[in-house]
This record gives sequence, structure tokens and C-alpha cells, in this order.
Amino acid sequence: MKGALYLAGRYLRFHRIKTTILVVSLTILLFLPLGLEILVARTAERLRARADTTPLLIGAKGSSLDLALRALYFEGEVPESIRYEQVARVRDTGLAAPVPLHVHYRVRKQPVVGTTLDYFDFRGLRIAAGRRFSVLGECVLGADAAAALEVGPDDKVITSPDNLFDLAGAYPLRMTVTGVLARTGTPDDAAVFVDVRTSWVIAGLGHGHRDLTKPDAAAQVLERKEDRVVANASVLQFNEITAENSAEFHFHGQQGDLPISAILALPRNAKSQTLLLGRYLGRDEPCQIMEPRAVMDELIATVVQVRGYVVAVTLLLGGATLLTICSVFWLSVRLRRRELNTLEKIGCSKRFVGGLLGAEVAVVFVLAAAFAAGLALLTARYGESLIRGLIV
Amino acid sequence: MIRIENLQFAYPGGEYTLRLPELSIESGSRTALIGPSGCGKTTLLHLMAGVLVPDSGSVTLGNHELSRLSESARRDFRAARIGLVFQEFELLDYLDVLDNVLLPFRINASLTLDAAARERATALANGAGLRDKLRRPVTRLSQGERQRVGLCRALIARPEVVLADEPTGNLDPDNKERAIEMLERHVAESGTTLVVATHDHALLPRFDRVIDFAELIS
Repeated sequence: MKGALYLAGRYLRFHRIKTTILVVSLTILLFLPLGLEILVARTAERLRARADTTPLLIGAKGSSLDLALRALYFEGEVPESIRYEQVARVRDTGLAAPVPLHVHYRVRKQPVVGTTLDYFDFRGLRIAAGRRFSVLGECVLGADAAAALEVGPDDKVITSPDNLFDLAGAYPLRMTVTGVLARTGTPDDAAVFVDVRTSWVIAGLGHGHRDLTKPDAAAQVLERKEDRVVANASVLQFNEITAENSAEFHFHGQQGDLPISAILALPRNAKSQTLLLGRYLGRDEPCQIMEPRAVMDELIATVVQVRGYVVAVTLLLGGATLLTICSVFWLSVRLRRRELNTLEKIGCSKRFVGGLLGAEVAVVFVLAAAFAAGLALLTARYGESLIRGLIV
Repeated sequence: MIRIENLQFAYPGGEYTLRLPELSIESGSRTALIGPSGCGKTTLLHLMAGVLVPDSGSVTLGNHELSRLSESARRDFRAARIGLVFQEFELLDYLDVLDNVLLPFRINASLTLDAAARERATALANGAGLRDKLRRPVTRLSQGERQRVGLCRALIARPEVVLADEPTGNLDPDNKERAIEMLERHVAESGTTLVVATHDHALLPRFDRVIDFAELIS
């Protein structure tokens, strides 16, 4: 058998292009259903795990999936905003504790999550270095975000502009990193957490500039009236909130009118949850409320259904590929008839010839199985983030 | 000694039947087998090697009547005691020179591939002028070099009989001379019986005996 294996190895090495094509075809054939199964299982597990820890979610009416993906994973389409007054509405019911989320901007590729410190307690996020944010302009980074941005406590990060060509849009804000979170293996690792009011400053809904009511600011004043001062274009907004200028920062309009993306509602008990769900059933209701688990189950059911189709197609293609591979081997044996006859003439048994051909097939299958297993391991390791990137 | 008696053989479905009442070839002799194409020279070599089994009659090598041996015994006998040389060399393209020479040891369990076998393979290849080409794929050798690899493969197991079918048929005069010299040297050194089927009448003076196959079977 050793001789057959040796000759098989030499033959496959000599015909390396044919061998590579066979191995690649078989690897794909073996990996597709396996990888798909792993991908779906892992994705379902991760999606459910995040959704299970989020009892209720309130946001603007529209796609519940977009809302859930944005609020849970900080990715995907930006849903319509709701007004911040909705937070007070939830609180006033006495049925649940509200945690606002404003997820719109980014620091490079990392999502900026405007929220309150309650979010840290709710998700069990622990500070690994530094401290939580306490004033406007401070931020706390998830472990992956800190690694990606290569910053730590006391370093600075700058928000990325929403649109490079929007001259009237929000100015980038320079923020101080006050802390880095311990790794959790959740989307929180990639986020830049700020106070929800800081996120409004990033959005341009709050800003800071020189006090125009003072007499020495006359050069920047276009018009003074009794109740207001109109500035001219020479007034510069502060692009960083510091101890010196923090008093100059202010928001125009009512806080309750400012936007947020969603509210995490943490009901006191099951009864409160049911009651709160009922509060948002009205026809004129501007918000929707959802149980993320149900939305994710729906998504997973769709994914599983798609997987079924893909597996069916893969099996069909696999059958065709297998037939092709068989015919390649069969043709190969026919082409090698003379070589195999010579082997028999110089003392080789038919059994050895069978072993030689079997070893060639076995080596190709073993290689393909090894590659497929390697790909499956990679899928298990990185597939979930890949599929999340594809879904959201 | 090779002894053939009352041999009859026909390929399945074939119209021609080879009939050979008697033939003896002395041990250690050099015999040339001549005759027109298709008269059965190659078939006779295959019957002598035990690749084919006669329909009737006997082929005896030494004390072994080949037709009485089982297929596996015949195969082992062939691997250990008979060296076959082919006109088209019949080398394995995916092996290098040394691996082709050692091929009988890899395909037959009755031969042991040990250090001695490797040394002998190297010595044979060196003697055949392939010293610097031992690890070269045989696809990158000249015709003459390929036939010398084929001769080394036939001689590697120290056979008692070498059966060569048109061994110089595809060679130019220089390589023909080299191949025949190599066979002659081996026969002289080891006392091997050599039977060569050939159309090349220029080679005949180098043989102890020349058998005209057409006359033999008429």
C-alpha cells in the first residue's frame, strides 16, 4: 500500500493542475453545505443572544428589522428618528426604565452611540481602563474601537463628517476618550459611546461659540434686537468641548424635540412589558414597540428558508460536480490503460492497480476534506461578522 | 533454461493461433528472435514471461512451469526473475529516473525496497551514463536515455532472464550501440539469459543463436 500511496502522490503532483482543479471542486462541494450550516447556526445564536438580552425596543414606525439592527448592532439603514420626549413618555408610564439611543454618526468606521450611563449598567459593560464619560464632549470606547482607532484614555478622537459635500452639515467634533470598556464579544466592542447630548452636538443641534452678547464681540454681530442677536459669518463654532468653553455650548429649541434613534425599554416585570406593548397599538401612534427576539426569529426563519434553497441548489450542483469528477477519473484510467498494462507486465497485481487508483482518489478527497474543514473553521471564527456585514 | 513444448496460443476472438512444437534456450545464452511483423514474436516473449498463459502446452523456466503457477505466483516470479524491456520504453512519465528504475520494488511486495536496492539502482543508472540525471523527470530525457532507464528497470531485480522486445527499434545508431553494450555487459557479468526480438539484422552477429521465428512455427 505504501508503494501505491507513493506512486499516487507522485502522479497527483506531476498533474498538479488537474489535481488542483479536482481538489478545489471537491472542497467547494464539501464546504458549501457545511459552511452554510455553521454560518446559519452561529448567526442565529449570536443574533438571538443579543436580542434575548433586549426586552423591548421603541422607535419610529417603519422597518422593525432596520430598527432592531440599528439599536442592537449599531449597523444598517438609519431608521427615522423619534423625539426625545418619548423617553419621558416611557418613564412616566412607570412600567419600564427607558435608555435612549442615538446612533447616526461615526468615528472613522466605529459607530457613535449617544446614550446614558444606564446603558452601561443594562448591558453589564465594565470599564477596563479610565472612567465613564461625565460631561459633554467625552466618550468611552469599546475594546475593538479603541484597538481600531489606536487610542486610550486621555487621547482624542474626531467624528467623521456625515457628507463631505454638505457645507452646512455638522462639523466634526473632537472628543476626549475617558475610558475603554472590557471586551464583551458583542457589537458594543466596536462602538464609541457618548452622552446623548454630545451626539446632538455632533449632529449640529447643539453648538458652542463666543458669547455674542458681550461688547467685545461686536465684530461678529450682524444685528442686535431686544430678544436676539444675529451673528455674521465670521463667528467660528468650537470644534471641541473643553472646561474653558463648555459654558458656551447650548442647544436651540426644546430638548424634547431633539432626535434619537430608539429607546431600550426595560420593563419591571412581564406584566409591565405586556401593558407597555399595549400602549403603542394606537392607529395614530407615531412609534412602534417591538420585542427584538421576535424580529430576529423572523429574520432567522428567512435565513433558514434561504439556506434550504441554497442547500438544494448545492446538492444539485454537487451531484453534477461529482459526476464530472467521476468522469475525469474514468477518462484518466482509460488514458492510462497502457501504463497500467505495463505495471502488470512487470509484476504488479490488479489489486495494486486498484489500490493505486483508489489512493489517488483518496488523496484528492482527503485534501479536499482538509481544506473544507479549514474553511469551516474559518467560517466558524469569522463567518458571523461576515454575514452580519452582509445582512446589515 | 527456457523450454517450450507443444505450445498453442490464440488471443480471444483472434483468428491466428501460435503453434510452437518445441524450443529450448540455454541458460546464460544470447538469443535473437527474428521474423516478420505480426508473426508472434512479442506474443512468444509474453508467454515466456508468464504475462500470457498458453491454451495448451508448457513454458518452463528453470524448474518452474509457468502455466502451472497461480496468477499471483506467476506475477511474483516475473517480478523477481524476469526483466522486460520494451520498444517504447514504457516508463512512468510522472516519476524521475531513480523512481522508474526502482519501480518493480514499489509495485511488488515480494521485492524489498531497502538501502541495497537503492544503491543498486543508483549504480545501474550511473553505469548507464545517467549519473547527473537521477532525479530528473524521464519526460526530460532523450530517447536513448529513456531506453537506458528502461534497461536499468529490467535489470534492477537481478533477473535470471531478460526478454527484450525490439529494444533498439526507436534508437539512433549511437544509442542502439550503447543499449546493446549495456545488455551484453550485464549478461556477461551475471550469466543472465537474454532473448531479444528484433528486426535489426546488423545486431545478429552479437548473439549466440538466431532463431527465425517464421521457420520455427512453419
